[in-house]
Amino acid sequence: MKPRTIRLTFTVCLCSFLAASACAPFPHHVRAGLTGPQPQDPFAGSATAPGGAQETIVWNQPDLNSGRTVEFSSGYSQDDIDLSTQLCGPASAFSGEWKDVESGKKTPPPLRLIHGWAAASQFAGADFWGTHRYRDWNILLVGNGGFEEFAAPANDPNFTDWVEVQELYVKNPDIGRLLEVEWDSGFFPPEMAPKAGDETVAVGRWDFDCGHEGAAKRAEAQSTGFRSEVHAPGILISSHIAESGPASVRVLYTVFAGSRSGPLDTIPVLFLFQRLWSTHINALGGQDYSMALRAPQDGWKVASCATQEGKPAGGHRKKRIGSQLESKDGGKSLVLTLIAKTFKPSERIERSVIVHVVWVPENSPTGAVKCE
Amino acid sequence: MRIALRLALLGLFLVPALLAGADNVQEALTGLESSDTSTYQKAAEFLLKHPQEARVPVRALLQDYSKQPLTRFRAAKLLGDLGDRDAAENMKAALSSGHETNAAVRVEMIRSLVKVGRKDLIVDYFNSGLEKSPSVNAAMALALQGSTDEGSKAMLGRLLSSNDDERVTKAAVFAITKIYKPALGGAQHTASSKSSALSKASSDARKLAAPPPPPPNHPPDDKLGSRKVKLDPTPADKAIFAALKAKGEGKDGEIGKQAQALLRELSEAYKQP
Repeated sequence: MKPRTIRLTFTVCLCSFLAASACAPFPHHVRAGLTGPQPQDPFAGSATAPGGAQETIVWNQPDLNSGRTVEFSSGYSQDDIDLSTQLCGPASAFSGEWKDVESGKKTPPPLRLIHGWAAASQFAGADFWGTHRYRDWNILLVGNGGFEEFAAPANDPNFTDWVEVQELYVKNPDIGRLLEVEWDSGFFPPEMAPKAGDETVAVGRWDFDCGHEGAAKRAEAQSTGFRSEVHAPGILISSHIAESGPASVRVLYTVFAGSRSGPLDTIPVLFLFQRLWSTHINALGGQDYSMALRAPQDGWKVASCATQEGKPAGGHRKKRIGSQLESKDGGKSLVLTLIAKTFKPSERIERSVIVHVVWVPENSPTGAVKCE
Repeated sequence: MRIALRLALLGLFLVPALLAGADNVQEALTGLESSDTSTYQKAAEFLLKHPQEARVPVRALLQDYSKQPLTRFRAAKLLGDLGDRDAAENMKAALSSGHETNAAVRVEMIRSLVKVGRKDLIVDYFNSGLEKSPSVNAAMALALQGSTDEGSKAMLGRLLSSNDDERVTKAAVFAITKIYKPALGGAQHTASSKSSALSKASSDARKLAAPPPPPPNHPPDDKLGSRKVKLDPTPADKAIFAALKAKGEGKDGEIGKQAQALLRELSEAYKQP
């Protein structure tokens, strides 16, 4: 080869190497305040909610969690550890970083629903450029009850790669397992993410992150396998109590649904080619999604409500999901329906909506419920 | 004269270098207290790269109760990551003094004691009866998974029989399953034709790929499939079997089933489990 060709080849290789080792960037449109650390809720979770509190988001349909083939034990089960280590074997470098927990048992793996509270919600510290269009927005969920069945043994709150978890754990030593929800911010607007302390429902792909191994890697320490997470969601709903008083409570329900989630199916060794065009699609189309929005306490009713279009994700190649908001029980709750039945499962669809609701005690004098 | 001059010059260069190093260690120790992620990570990385300079001040940080629990938590973690075996005594002192009131810090010390190879101190701490937190007791049970010495087994037996907390009992049953996996493996080998319905607990034990060394009180050939006779349980084994039996007869459905299944499997390997 001629010296010039050698120099050119070397330059291309060097540029490729530098690009590969680079972190995924922040999206251009995100405001600066969101790119740094966000406030955390040191006492997140239903266990610390005040007396009489109830869940404000109740999923109606479809039933997403029936027929599960995997349920993690809330204790320690070698089966659970082995499942992640078998899926995340050495070959995962050639077959992708994220492995469906129910891999191989149902094709494609179904969407699952996880209900918890956001203990932290912010951009990831760093993400590999090859498998992300933009940096992920990460939400750390805590929960109880059915939540535990989704959290693998490695989800014990001693993550070594997310420093904020240490602070949370030290303030809440009995917090239990934590579960991450990660969404490429090129396909999810961070403005629609829950704030720390918000009740959160995530519907999406339930998988192991083969880059997140539990426990220390020292020979003396026992491995607890790899962490399970939701990566990426297709629907993310959260409720934020904006004002709370004895006579009224104002709640913002933030709903973002989007079938796209970025190049997370990219095979690491082929990322230079694959990341340019591939995007994982959660099969949202083909069915409607319905959820009840309720007051934070029992015995309250809607005084007023209004819907507002939420922030969209980037890109233009997507269709808009319709929505419907109504009350069927005299104002005790509102039912929000995302109408996606008319779309094909593989279609690129999206909807971003914020519902503002003022709740008052049931004995307050108000007229009929009207949602603007 | 020339040699003395050289030494003097060397000293002139060395003193600022050592002082700069000390400054960096001090800076890194301060960084351990930071709530800024990158500052903490850089500090921890620096201290891990300078174990000789880091060990003593990090040990002191562990027992400095004027610091935030987060700082002590990070000190405990770092001592484990540094593999500082001498720090085990500091951790023992911090645990037994009762001054460490944060359960997460105590859990991290338990983990670090495993990392530095001092599980015996975990047994001593348990035997002191000072620990009441379920999360720490669960961590102690998990720390002893696969430990086949009499002290560890006796501790797990006592932990299982004296505790009704779900997290602790599940951790203890998991740790016990790992202790007996070589014996269960042998039993499975010889009795595979007899056993058709296999419990999750025994399946856990069988699926483990790399068996640890056999318990010291039994000859090795008792463990690997050539056994013809059942093993004599030691007093600690008996304590564990009694605790499993009690849990099996208890009201806790999932734990009870696991305990019963494990006992059934152990009956293939041991006399009167």
